[in-house]
Amino acid sequence: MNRFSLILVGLIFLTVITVLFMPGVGDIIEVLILRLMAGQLF
Amino acid sequence: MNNLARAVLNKAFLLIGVILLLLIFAISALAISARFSDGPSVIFAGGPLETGELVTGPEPDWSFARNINLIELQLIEPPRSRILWVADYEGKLYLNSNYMGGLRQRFWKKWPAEAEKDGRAILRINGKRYERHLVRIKSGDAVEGVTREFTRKYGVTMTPEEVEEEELWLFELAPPRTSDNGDIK
Repeated sequence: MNRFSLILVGLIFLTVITVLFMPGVGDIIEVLILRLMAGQLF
Repeated sequence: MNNLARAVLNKAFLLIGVILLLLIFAISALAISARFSDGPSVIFAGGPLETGELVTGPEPDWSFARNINLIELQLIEPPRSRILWVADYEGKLYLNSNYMGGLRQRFWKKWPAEAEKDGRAILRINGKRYERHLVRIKSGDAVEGVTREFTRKYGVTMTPEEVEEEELWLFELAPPRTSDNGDIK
């Protein structure tokens, strides 16, 4: 596995852990998705 | 385009690709974790509704639902839950599902068709659970009253014509159907 792949796997792992275990992160993502679907992101 | 510009462009595409990939993993993680939760999240379907007192006995007075905007509903089969709007009309509760004629219905909303096939469900309001049977309403006097109540309550436009065109599906949250030995059918 080259360096880039290792960094990518690390980032994915970190993202999943953050989303699942950091309070509020999942909620923020869901609100952003809702606003995106409603066309009110910006 | 010189080599420097090409290299910068490649890096930019790579960065966008990585960000998109991370976003896909983040959303997938949220969707999967919701499936194993007691109840749904705002967007993603959740697992079975397990906590909360299970209310049995005579039919409740549903008028309190007039002040409740969102309820949690779980189908028995498949055992997944979601957050929905609710309206009360003439002592009965009703659910709606919009955009049933479009692409969203085919790719995103599966529960209305599942509920039509097997209406057994559990409703959770104010932390209390109620066994229900979803009955799809396509016509009749209730359609006008229920669409009017949804329109009043949520400030959106729902019409009997949409129900007729199957763009809007309505379900009555009827009492559970029991067999002779008391089991839920």
